[in-house]
Amino acid sequence: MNDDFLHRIRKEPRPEFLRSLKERLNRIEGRTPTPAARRRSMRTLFAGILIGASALALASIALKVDFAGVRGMLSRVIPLGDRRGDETARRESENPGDGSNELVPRGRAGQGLRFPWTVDSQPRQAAQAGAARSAKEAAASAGSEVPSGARTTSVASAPASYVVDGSRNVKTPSGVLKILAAPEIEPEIRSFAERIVHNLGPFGALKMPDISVAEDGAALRALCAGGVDGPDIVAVTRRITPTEAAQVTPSSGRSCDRPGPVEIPIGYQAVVILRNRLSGAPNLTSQDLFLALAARVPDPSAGRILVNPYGAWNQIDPALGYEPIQVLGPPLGSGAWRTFVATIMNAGCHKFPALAALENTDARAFEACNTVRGGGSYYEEVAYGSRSVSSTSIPSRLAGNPGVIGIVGYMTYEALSRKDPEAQVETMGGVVLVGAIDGILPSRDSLAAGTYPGSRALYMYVSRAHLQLMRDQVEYFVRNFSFPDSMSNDPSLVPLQREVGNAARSQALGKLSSGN
Amino acid sequence: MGAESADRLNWDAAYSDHAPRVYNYFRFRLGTQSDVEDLTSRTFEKAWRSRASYRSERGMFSTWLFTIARNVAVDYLTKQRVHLPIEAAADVTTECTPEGDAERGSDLARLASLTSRLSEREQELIALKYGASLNNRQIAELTGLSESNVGTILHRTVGALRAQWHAVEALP
Repeated sequence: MNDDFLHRIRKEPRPEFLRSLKERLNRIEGRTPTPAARRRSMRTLFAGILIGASALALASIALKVDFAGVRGMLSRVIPLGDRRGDETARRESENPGDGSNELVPRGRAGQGLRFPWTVDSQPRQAAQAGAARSAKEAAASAGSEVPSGARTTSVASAPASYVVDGSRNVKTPSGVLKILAAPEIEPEIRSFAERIVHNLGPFGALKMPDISVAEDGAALRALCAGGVDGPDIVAVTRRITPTEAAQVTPSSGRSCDRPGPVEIPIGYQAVVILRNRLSGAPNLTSQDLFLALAARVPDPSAGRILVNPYGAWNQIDPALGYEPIQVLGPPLGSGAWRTFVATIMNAGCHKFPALAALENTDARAFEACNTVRGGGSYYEEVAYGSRSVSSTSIPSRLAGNPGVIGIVGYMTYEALSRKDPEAQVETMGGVVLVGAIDGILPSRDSLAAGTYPGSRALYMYVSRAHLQLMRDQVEYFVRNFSFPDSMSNDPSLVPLQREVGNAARSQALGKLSSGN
Repeated sequence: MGAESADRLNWDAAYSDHAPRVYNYFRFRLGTQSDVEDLTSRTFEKAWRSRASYRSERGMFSTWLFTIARNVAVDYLTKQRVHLPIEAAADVTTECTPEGDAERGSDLARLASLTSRLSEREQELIALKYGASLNNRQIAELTGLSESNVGTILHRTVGALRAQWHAVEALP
């Protein structure tokens, strides 16, 4: 094949461009350090700790510091009574803490500093006593345990450093936000926080939050339980239920809805189904998709659960016509896959009362609703953890395989959609059509209305328990959190429309500042 | 294990080897010189930021990198389609600059005018084969087509392009 004319068109890039790009790359810190870099960091950290500890030991031996004397001196400079309230001072004199009942939560209080007292380096000029009382009241209102013999010395300060752990037997919230997030949302929150903290530095408005993954139910329970260990913010894939909101927490004796956490909608998670236009737009029900893809399905005649016997769509519903069941979908475990299971599969499963009943009686058997079959019906798309694969290759493959149903994240569909009345998606290989589920086509409107079965709304809930201590950081987070993150790998995450998002944020900030 | 793959990779060598290929992929894919450097930079920045996610056991580095490059190209082309109303087409075609004249007279511009009649898939395969210098197996892995299908499509497409190319050259 004579293709010299094509080879001739190739051209080397400018050397100065290659040089400047390489320099720029060298300046960029990767999101995840390589193992070698991690090892180097660990070695440096370890050496630093060794040097620091040695210096401290030597200094304490050499100087023989009289902590009690220093404390007395500071007490004269900054009267403790002003900062603690008279009642606390009285308790202290009557029952000094012995430190034997250590309740400081790990990683939360003082970040491991266990000095018997701490003085803030930047005392707030105004309302120190009031702030101390507020801190105590906030802790009490959150249901935190404050033993009678506790010494709670609060020093008003910037929100990141605030409560002094007076006797080492007082629970105190830390100076960093504690966030619990669903597995789908956690990477977005972490990425956002890392970027903000990295850009603003250690003295910025946001300290690196303590971010953990939790399933929705557990996260909301922790939020309602409140207390010092409770999260400041939770991000979940569903709305809090009235039952959860009304449930009385034993530790506080109050229900979650008085005063309730502030709810902020942050976006959606949605998947769509596609098919080559030669086969027409798919029009399936969630029940069809469940029966096609579940590993085990109910036997329509015998009332038992059996291994999925369906090989063609017309075995599920004769109206669907003969076509082998072949579905090309996101990698198992990915955000889009979880969305598909949690929305469409789950909705399809609940169409069968016998299966739905298992949810509350036999959790193991109910797993049938969430288990996708293998065996040549569901083809998992290979991904490198990059958005790039699923955003292009599934639609492209559908273009070459007319009978196959594809499942992709909503943002993939939106990026490729030609936005015409037929909701076509143009790919590198041709045109594919988006399908309705239960008669509803995916669109921003159907997502917002909650009518499209392949989507679910995502929410953030902000606790008011620690608000008086953490207000600046909470408000900063709520005001600036962008969802999904610009480096997001999950095409199923859908942001709110800009005006809607801004309105939701403003409303939440108003509630946080007004206390209503 | 996988993370060690990223660690073991010689990024300097990979950069030297692949930067010209990514650069030429975008030239072929876009059919123009403008924005090519920007897209090349964007591709490498994305790859560099997520380098820890590269797993050598799941595929070759070039497959991983060109997956990112293709996505960058799709995003770019999609935005171009969205942001360029049809009325703007007339303005673009009548815009005259010395650089534009030079580019229009170049082989790249001639190729662009010929490939604009091809389907998206054929354009993509040409860019991957002659811009990115990938072999048919790598292209098949990237596009989801079979290797023989890639070969067949390329053979047919290049044959048609060659005929048109020489026909244009033969014009007075």
